[in-house]
Amino acid sequence: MSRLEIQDIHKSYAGQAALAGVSFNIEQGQATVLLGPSGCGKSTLLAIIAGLEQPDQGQVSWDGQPLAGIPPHRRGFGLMFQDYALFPHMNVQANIAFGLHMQGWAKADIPARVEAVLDLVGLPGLTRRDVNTLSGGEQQRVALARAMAPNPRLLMLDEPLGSLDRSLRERLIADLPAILRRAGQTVLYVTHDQEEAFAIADQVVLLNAGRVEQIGAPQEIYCCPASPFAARFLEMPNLLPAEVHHRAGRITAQTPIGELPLEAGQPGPATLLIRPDAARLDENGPLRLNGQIVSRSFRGHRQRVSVLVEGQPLVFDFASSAILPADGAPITLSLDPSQALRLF
Amino acid sequence: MKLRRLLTTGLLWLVPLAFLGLFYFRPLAAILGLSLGRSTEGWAAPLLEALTSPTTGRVLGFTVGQAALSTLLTLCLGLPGAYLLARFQFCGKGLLQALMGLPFVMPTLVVASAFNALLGPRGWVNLALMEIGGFEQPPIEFTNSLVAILVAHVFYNTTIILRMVGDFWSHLDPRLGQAATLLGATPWQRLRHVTLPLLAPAITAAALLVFLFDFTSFGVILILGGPQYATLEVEIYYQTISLFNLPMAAALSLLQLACTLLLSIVYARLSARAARPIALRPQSYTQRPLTSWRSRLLAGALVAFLLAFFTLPLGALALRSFTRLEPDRGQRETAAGLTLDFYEELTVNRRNSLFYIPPVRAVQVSLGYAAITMLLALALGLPASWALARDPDALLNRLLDPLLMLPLGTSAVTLGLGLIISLDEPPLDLRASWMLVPLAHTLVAFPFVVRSLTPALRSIRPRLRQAAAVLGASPRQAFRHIDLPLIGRALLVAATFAFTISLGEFGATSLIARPEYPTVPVAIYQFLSRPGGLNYGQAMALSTILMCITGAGMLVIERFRVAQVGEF
Repeated sequence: MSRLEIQDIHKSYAGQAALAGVSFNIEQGQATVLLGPSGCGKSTLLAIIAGLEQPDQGQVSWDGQPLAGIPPHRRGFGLMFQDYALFPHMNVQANIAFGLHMQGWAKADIPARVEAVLDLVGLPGLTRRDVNTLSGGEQQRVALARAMAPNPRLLMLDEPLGSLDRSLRERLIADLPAILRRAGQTVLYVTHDQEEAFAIADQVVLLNAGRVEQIGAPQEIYCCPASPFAARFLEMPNLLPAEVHHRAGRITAQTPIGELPLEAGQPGPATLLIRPDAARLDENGPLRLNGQIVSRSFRGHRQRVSVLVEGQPLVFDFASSAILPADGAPITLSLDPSQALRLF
Repeated sequence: MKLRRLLTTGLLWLVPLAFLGLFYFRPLAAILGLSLGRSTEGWAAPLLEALTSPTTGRVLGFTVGQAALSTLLTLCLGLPGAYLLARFQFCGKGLLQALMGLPFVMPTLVVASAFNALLGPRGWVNLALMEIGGFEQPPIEFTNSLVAILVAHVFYNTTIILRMVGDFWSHLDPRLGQAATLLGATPWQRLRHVTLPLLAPAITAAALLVFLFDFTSFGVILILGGPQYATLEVEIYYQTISLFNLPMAAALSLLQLACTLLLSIVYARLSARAARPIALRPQSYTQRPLTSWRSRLLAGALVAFLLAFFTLPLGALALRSFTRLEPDRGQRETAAGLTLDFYEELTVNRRNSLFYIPPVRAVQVSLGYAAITMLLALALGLPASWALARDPDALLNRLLDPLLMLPLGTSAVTLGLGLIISLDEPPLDLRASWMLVPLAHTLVAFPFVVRSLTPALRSIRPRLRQAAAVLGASPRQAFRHIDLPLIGRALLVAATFAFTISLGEFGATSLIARPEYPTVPVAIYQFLSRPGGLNYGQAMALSTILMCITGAGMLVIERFRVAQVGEF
């Protein structure tokens, strides 16, 4: 039996469906990341699990017990809000201690626990500070500490790094998994950023327009996106209409850039993904594409190149050290069909 | 669901509206009916006759004129100050911010006494000039002049500009101006095309509020202006008390009411627009230190002037109340020097009168009235602001919101008279009761209470309540630990407002206060209008006591005030 079971949740606002049948499970001690573009219903789902909103249909259960009818303050879940929602009239200490008071902790145990969670989030000794004077990163950590302090059965984080600048985010992305694992927390984490999701998740739930698009470990999601939406969301935009043929023991896909060999696939119309990260600068590979470089953009650890192949714009990623022809020059790429091609 | 919300809003309004109906609308209708209804030609004829009389034209002209002039002068002093406070950090800023709340809570009688102590015929400046220059008569004629009225109005209302415009300005994103500069705007163009248009709603709303206060000014005009100057409010007082020309007084009251209603509707519209956030930033981001010597000099001069302006008259008042400059009764020698005589005199029955009430009794009476007013105003203001905060767009709220401001614009004299004549039957025979005074004070304090509570109630984000719930707080606990502390500060501020307003109210009180229960302002007025150094000294002493009490109130307000744009 799974710890948290989300079963067929539906919710709409003013006739507009925010969630349309979402189901997945979370195991004890696991970090699950709800990944999806903004407006896909992630925050709504968190509010429903927390008990702040009621689903129109479907149910949420914990250890097999349905949670319907249990108000938020009896669920024992923690939620860190996207905008932190720190209490403006309390200092850091009082904000973090609030949940402990509410759970009826003994007064004597509270200061030590507050110190401990502040240590955990890397802000030791900040207890006396007024929350209104904290920087964005400090607020984020205090909000995290406040949500973690009462040892919630489930810790939910709503875009916790959303409003931070890049360098701070990088640092916190690196810190967060350690913090969460050390606490042995069951975590449900919401984000629209795939890097963040991959760094933190044991399990990723990819959400699109109120529906689950794909569930899996980060590696699984990245290597095998299950739909054109998943591919596009993971920055793999090379999607071509294809017609799959079985001919003389060979499987091929007829596409606008020519006939490509496949390892498997049902005959008929389909969409073909060419992974941008699977191309090599090699003139002797099993499958070669000839094209013309249109433009390039440098992304630090890699460079993304737009190539026009048979009139189709495609993008490919290379190491930033790779030496490429100039813009407008012809280029020959080789692909390994088993790695590079994927059919939906 | 919708019906339930409407019903709750209606229920919340029930008590405040019942109170307003009984103690505001009914007395008002009664006095207007009595004043205008006695003519055989119906009520329209006397009204029309009064409205077209030359007196009305003259008084209205003066009222509008002095209010406009006062507002203009207030803006001239307030806007540079607001800019300085909004955009710069400098030494003395904390002091200035603490002191600028002072004029706002000072009763008109205290302010009048204070300027009298500084610039009046017995004031420090004239005394000094007579001593040094050897003048026989006081060389500066300040009291009984238009200048005195204008200066007192500027003293009162500069704070409103500093607060409302300064607050808004201090949160305005300086990058907007920087963007304009980068696009090639000169400093003047930047001011004209970017800064001023963005500030316009705040400036207009603040100016309107200042205008409204100047328009209905009473105590200042009566005491500092002297008999030749009359605003509508003062003329109503004369017409009622001295001439007993009730139809004229009623017509002028209606005129004033119509004008203030119009102004307060425009004000409500504008302040709602000023409250709309346009790229607001925290103050730490928008403010920087003064760098060049020229800017420091200019800022220093302005700050010094504002500080002096806010404190000198009040300081002069306090000092004057401890200083004897004239011979004692029956003696020829002047024993000039520091003295506590004026304070001691407040408790002495000089004439051995049988019905003597020591003036110090007025302090106790005033404090008692203020306490009752505070409780009443909070009991009425809390449900009303709750209704306004939870559903600002409801039709009922939009209709009732401007109505709340009405008592502010109503002639206090008319209202006082109305209370006397309408509450004359059991079970509400309050004609001779002391209760009339706190009732009238509550009407004046009520709008202030609502205006300071509503934004605080509105600012409690549902998010915080949700956060508390997720952390294990039951709805009751969430209210106790989140809502109540957040409202608490606003409640304290509102309560102090009600308290100080009651302490200072003079217009209505002068009419309805029982002789055996005089309030401090009434006692001050009596002393000021009697001749002699002893009476003058006692007026100063009582004013100083009142100043200290309201000053303490101001400290409470400053300490717990949550800055809000577009409200006072």
